[in-house]
Amino acid sequence: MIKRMAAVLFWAALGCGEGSSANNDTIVAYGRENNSGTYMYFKEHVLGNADFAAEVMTLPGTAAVIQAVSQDKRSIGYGGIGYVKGVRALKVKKDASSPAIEPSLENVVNGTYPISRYLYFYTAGAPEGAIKHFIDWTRSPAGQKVCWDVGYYPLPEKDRMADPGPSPAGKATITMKGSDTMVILGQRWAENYMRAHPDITIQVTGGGSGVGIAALINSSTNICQASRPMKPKEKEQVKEKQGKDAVEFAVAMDGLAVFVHESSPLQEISLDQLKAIYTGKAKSWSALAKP
Amino acid sequence: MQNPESILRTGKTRRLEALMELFIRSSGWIVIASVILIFFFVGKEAVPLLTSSEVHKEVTLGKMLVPQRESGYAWQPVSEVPKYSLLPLLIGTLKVTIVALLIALPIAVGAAIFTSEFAPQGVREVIKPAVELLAGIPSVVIGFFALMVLASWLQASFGLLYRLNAVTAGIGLALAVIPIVYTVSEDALSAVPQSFRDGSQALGANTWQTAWRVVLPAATPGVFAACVLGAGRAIGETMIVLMASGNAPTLSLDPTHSFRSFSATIAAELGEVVHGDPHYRVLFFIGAALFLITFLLNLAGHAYVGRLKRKLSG
Repeated sequence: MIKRMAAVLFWAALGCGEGSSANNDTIVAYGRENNSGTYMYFKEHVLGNADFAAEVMTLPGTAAVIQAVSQDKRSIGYGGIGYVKGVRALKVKKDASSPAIEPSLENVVNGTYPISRYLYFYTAGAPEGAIKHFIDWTRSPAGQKVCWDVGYYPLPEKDRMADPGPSPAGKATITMKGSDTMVILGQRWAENYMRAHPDITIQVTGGGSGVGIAALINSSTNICQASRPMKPKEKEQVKEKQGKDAVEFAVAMDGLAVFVHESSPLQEISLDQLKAIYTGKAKSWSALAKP
Repeated sequence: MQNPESILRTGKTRRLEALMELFIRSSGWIVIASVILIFFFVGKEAVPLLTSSEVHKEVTLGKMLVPQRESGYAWQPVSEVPKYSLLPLLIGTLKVTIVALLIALPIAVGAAIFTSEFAPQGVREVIKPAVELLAGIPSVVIGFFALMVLASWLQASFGLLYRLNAVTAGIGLALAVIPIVYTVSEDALSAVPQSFRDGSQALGANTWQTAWRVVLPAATPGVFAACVLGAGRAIGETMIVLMASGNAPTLSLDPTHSFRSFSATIAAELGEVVHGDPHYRVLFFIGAALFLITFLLNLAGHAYVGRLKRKLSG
């Protein structure tokens, strides 16, 4: 093995090994780490729960994926729409015959863009008092405006709530923990809410959706922020440890953009093509173009 | 006449001495205890992988080592049917460690020989702190450098298919390994008695012959120990590999292809895993395995150094 590696290294160094003959047609696919809500979402909704190909490179953050794709003409990647910069976002088609949809705010909020998802709050048992008031507020027009201002997508009209009115009397502290995708959003919500309701203090920390869910299970947080729905097993654990059901609130939306290098001739892509790339069935751009 | 020692060891001094002794003794025990406790903690979290029937429904040690009927050797822990084959991770770890050591060891040992044997005083005073400064760079910074600069540069120069691969990560890793190997081997070389060099030169050997045939062999145990330490660091280093490897769990032996290492896998996956589920156990098992690999490596290194020392002195 060492000998083979040394040989490859030597030829690569001379610039005439497997490396330099690398076909410009090969697809180099980037994705997110399997700890992220984004990974789960993509796997469920685009790959239809099939496994990612082993060759898909996974990076620890959307910004890293964008950076990698912006440097590599043969590559493709995906990530939150808000991050797209220096790469070209593709229009996405639900299937071969449906129209290609631009990844824009309007299209995510009105539900026509095919790869968008909800972001969630979870509590153990139905929330009461200040916690309930805060959650209702985030889903009200005032809360959803903050969401828009920070660069996340608000909920569709049908999921929004009316303004909850004045907060319950008395001082209260609320802790919120979870998804790194949602940390900034959570902090802005907390700042704006605390300004309007000075009696209530909200502490927001990140760590990841899984970390937040674990904290909810151990009752070390009031609200868990998650960029993916809770798994049945995690819900069972909440029930087991606390005797209460986990309650889910959709609080915002997030769209996933699919992007390629700026010089790529590709304009649009269907979900089936995406699935073929990320499960390893399509290995070259020319094969992808054929029906 | 009073014994001079008993004059010194009176009252206050003796109490202070006892206190100091207690402090030093307890520091020693704390270090030993923390290593043992860490191992117990990691082991405790990993053991259900071997014993719990709940975990065995999803994964057994056999499934992690033997190829599976449908998937072969696949690392797909988040899946309908989770697949936990360790082979892709083992290949990745070995691949990057070998590349890193191939680059780091010659440079580090060469630099150490240069500083201790050839460099004039002035140069030595610049090189040593410079290398120690390199040791102070946080690995996340090296990782970022490898990801942003090195990857683009290597891809443009050699037309590599994958930006992030074992060569990119290996060079980044070498930057982290070099200071360790350099510092320890430089100490070993400097510790060779001056009389060896004087004797060699008196017999007519030049500086080069003295360094290569006399000083280096005499310092071999120390230099070897430095290399073992460097290998341990390379296997365990996380951040650089996480950022610059691409983390694709492939079986490719080609160093210009992406790979996934043990340490990066733990770092990437532990944060979001459901506590206590089979995936969590597998990650802790990998942690325990890494601990054991480094331990065995150091043990073997130690034994070999002991033998060398006996051979050289005997």
